Amino acid sequence: MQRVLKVDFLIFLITAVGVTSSAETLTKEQRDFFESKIRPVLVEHCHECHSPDAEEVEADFLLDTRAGIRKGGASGRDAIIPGDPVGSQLLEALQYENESLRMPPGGKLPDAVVADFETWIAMGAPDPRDGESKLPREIAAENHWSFQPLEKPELPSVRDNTWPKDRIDHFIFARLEQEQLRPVADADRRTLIRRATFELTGLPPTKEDIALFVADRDTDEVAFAKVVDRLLASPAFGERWGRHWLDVARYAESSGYSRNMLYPYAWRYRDWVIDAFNRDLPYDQFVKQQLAGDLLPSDSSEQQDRQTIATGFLTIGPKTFNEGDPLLFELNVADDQIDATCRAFLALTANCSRCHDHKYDPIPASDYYALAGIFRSSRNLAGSCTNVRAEHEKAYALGPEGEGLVRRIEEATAAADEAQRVYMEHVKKRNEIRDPLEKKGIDWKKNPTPELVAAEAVVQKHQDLVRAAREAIPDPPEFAMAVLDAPVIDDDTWDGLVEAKKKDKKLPTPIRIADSPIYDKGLHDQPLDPVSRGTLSLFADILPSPEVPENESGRLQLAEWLVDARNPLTARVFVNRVWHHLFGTGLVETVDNFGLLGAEPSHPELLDDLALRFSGEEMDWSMKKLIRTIVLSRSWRLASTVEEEAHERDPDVRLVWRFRPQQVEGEVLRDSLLFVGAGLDDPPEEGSQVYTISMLQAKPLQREIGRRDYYYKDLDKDVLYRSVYLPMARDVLFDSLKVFDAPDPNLVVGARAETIVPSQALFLMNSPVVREQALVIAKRMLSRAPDTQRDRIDNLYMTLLGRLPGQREVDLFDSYLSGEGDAEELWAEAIHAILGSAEFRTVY
Amino acid sequence: MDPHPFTRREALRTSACGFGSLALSGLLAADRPAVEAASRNPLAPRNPHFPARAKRVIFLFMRGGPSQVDSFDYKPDLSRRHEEDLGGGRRYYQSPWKFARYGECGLPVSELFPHIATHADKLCVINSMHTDIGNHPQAILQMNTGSFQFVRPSVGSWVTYGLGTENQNLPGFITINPDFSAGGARKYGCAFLPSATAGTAINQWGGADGGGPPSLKDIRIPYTQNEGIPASRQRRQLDLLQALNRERLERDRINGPLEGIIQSYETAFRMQSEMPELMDVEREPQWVLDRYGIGNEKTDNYGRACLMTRRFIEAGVRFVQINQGFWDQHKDLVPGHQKLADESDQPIAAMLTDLEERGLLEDTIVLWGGEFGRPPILNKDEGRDHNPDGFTMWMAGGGVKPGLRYGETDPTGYKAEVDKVHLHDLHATLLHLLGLDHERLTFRYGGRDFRLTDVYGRVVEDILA
Repeated sequence: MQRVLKVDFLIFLITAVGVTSSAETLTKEQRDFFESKIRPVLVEHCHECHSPDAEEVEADFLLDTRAGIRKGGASGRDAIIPGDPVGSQLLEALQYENESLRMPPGGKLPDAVVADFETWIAMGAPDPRDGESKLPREIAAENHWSFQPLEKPELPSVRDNTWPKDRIDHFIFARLEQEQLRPVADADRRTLIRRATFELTGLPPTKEDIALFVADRDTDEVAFAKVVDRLLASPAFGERWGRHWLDVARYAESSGYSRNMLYPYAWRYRDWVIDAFNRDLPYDQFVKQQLAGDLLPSDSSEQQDRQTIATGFLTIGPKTFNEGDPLLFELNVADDQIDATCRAFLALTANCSRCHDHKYDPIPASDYYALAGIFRSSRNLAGSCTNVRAEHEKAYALGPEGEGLVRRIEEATAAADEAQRVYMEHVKKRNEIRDPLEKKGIDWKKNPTPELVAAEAVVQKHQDLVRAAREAIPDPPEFAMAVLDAPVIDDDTWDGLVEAKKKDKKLPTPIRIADSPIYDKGLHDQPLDPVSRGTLSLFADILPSPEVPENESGRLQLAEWLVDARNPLTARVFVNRVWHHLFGTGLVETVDNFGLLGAEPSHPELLDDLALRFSGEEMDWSMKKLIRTIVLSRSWRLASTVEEEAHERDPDVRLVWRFRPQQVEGEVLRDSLLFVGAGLDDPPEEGSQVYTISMLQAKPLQREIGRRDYYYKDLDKDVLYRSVYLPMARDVLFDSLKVFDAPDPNLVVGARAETIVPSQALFLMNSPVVREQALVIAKRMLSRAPDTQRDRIDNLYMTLLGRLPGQREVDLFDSYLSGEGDAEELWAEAIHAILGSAEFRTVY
Repeated sequence: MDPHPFTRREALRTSACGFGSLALSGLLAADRPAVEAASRNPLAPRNPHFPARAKRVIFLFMRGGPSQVDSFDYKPDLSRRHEEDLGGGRRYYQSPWKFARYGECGLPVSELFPHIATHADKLCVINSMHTDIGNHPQAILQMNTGSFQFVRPSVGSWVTYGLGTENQNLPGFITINPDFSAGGARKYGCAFLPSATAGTAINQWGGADGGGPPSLKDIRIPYTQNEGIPASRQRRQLDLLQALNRERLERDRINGPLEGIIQSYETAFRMQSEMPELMDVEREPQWVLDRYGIGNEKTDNYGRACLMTRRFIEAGVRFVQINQGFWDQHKDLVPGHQKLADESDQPIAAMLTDLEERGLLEDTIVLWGGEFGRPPILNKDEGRDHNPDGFTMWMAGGGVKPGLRYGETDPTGYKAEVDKVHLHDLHATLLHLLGLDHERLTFRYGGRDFRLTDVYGRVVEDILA
């Protein structure tokens, strides 16, 4: 009864006023209805949880504006559809009929009030409340520091003008003055050269290097600049800094996960990274080549190859090769590529948006799938064989002829096989003539019939043809891992390919250049509409997402967008990575997360200043210039001495009042042990043992780690080259690295963990590698002209720790060496103790 | 911009000075924040979120997926559909093994496990387990890490991260006989958790090819023995090393990490004497070896694993996993399952008895099961295939209801139907028994809080004692 009446009333209202959208068109009746019946209820019963004043906005639903109440919240349904009470979620909640959706939570509002809402929605939900509806976190995202444009800051003034040397120092010192802290004294030359040599090359300085620097008569700055330039020019620089980047690039030589298939050519990417640092490839190029090197112009096939090898970055990631569903596999590969790209270059966790809009950062799922479209439009040439996934089997053929040579080999091999077949036919024919003669007991060797002679000649001729055909097979090219654009395929051809794949599961899953749909909640069987290929939109007002041409994947546009001068993240992120490596902590502590859950920079102006210097004229993206500038700054050259008061207030040394001692990584420790001991070998000629093992395995399908044997038996002591060249299959790392916090190559790791655990001590006490080096050093020392024991101890300290021993240390040694036992043995044990000491693996 | 740029690291480093003494006082006071802040030693013992029912875990991982209808999920109705043809040589097939009821609770157990059956009144059997994926590698990773898709810490690492370890001379998490395949070290890896929480592997072996792991006889942990220097000399050498470290500490005055290193050497030295002793099961009296079936060809290796596990647990290791497999009989179900059951049944039963006699069972959780189960269907090769929709696991010991058969599969034993327990629920329950709230045991990595159960998991209250 009541309902009928109401409906009549509704019809009256709708016809009377129509659907309203903005305040201006509200009639007096509408306004009065809203102000008297609706607004007071919203304020009293809803605002506590659903307005910006809420302590925590529930379900992301704000109903304090017209825009907000219509949009609804996290469920994705419209809370109010003007004119459609039944479809409006808000009314459903008020009606208390759906058990899982009842609002307000305290109890159902009186029927009359609910009826008012129904009326109000039916009349078109007239609502005078203008204004944007933004969640507190959306507002925070808009104002988030790292999404703001880079701005050249004023150089801060400092009271003591004599202290700062570089612009860096002005920012550091101004902040210290502000906090009333004094920096400690500068480091002495011995400390400094040891620090610089470790940080720039990953090795300790030689005794001679130290002596030369200490004796240099130039000023500290000039003399140190010479040291730094020498170190930057050494090939060891690329090995050290290349390894830093390989952590970020999640570098490994196998697919990891359940079936750990080898990547035989991954090492070429590793060498490209090392080389890029050594020849100081500008960072903008460094970024572009890794994402789209195949698409960049080049002057020669060598350059083309080198740039294409760089795209290995995209395809060295972990993969679940035995994933049975081709689409899920493809989406997982794209996910790894999105994650690696966004974390490495932008320090953003875009892959959170695979299943839903990012919870903290302004990255909607549509942005994620815009990127997914780019990567799904690219072919992965991983060169990894599996019995499930054919599409990553091919590798990229190097050399001027490239893929053409592979085809020629296939053709020539087929031709040779055909020649062989024909040859065998002639052999058969000849035998048909010869065998009857033999049966008859005729000595056909001595008295061949003319027929046999003729047949034999044909056989001979074809034998030569076979040989020639085999020789005509070209030598195979070298291969690399790479990513190339997928082909453009029209719809009809495409449908044919998809059909063919359905029939023959062994065929590679076809791919083409295309946009990707959004997948609802990340579920691969729930595609929604496709989104245009493009980049993230989070700072679109500074730098819009580029247009991607129809016939291109979009990797090139993505790369150009990353290194665009207006991109607020790329330079900041890299400068911060370098700072992290040199100081032990980044200006932004969360080096891989510049999003809303990341840390704030300790010196925001310094970070911007350095980022602008790096990407601007002064350095023009030169990684060496950036590192040189920081290392030569006075801030980096401080001693590591502790001042109690400063330590009390800033134990993390975020304010840079001293140099914070750092524990070296596993690679540096192992390399240093070998460097002071048996000596380091050249890099392995074959590239990597993973490559060798892959080639040795008879069937490519066995290219899996851990199935039959293990590539690295006892390798820790059997190989003497630098650790960056050690084989690096996922989940199968060397003990010397694993024990010392090696990064997990399944993840982008800009900052390694620093743990101190007994297994490290066990390794240093008992690993044959360590003892072996101690023995080598002892033997070498004792074979030289007899010195006094004191000279020998001094010498050891200089070689191993870069300093002279104190008297008490000398006494400790004297006492140890006076123990029972063979002299060489005693020396080796004592040397082993230094190699195991904390100081050997600490940079001061 | 930010007046307080100092975050977690500050806390770590502030208290990193005087690490040794602080950590010690923390231990004595059992002061959780102090210990956490003080130590860069992630193995320092920590208090749980709420009072725990158990302190330790033994996970008997039956890799490959044992068949539930042939072991602990008695399905008399299956006989009605016995040999019902399903096409392609597939047919319903009742268990070739006979079931009998055991204990006061009358728990039905098949003749595959006559020894475990004698412990029926201690077992809490969950017949309604289910998981997401029916493919070994992924399912194994999900069982061991909670995720089949992403790189996540293993269950043992989470537990070790949450509780630390009770014996600083030993690793917190040990896994025995893990194989290389199906994720390799990922199965006991720590992903982004501190590396000390990663499982220490004993006898890692060759995976899919082999018939089983090599013998545990004379097995050693890497780097716990030194060929070159006898122990007495090594102690003297270590004294020199530590004196050099202390010399440097005096020079630096304040250096937390260096104090940590000094501590780690002392621990390491004790560990290298303690671990080999614990692993040397032959120190046990003959009757104990006999009880575990050590010396008997069939049971020797698994018996050694179980006895070693009891010794580790007794010595304060937090989480021990024994891996056995492959329970993956797509062909020839009967000989395959029989062989594996014969290898592990007696040792497991012996371990349960032993733990109980030593008073350890009451606060140790023993968990038995595979990554999924098998259907009640026999294929043309006389084997059973994979089944993620229903399988059985059992628990015994700390805090679980003994003598309980919980949840049900459908009448054929195929799909979990009543009181379903998802793998995430099992993980949540396991943590709960240890006093850890699975929603609060988190680790922040890359700006996100991660947990073992991701956004899932519900504690199965009904099985709690």
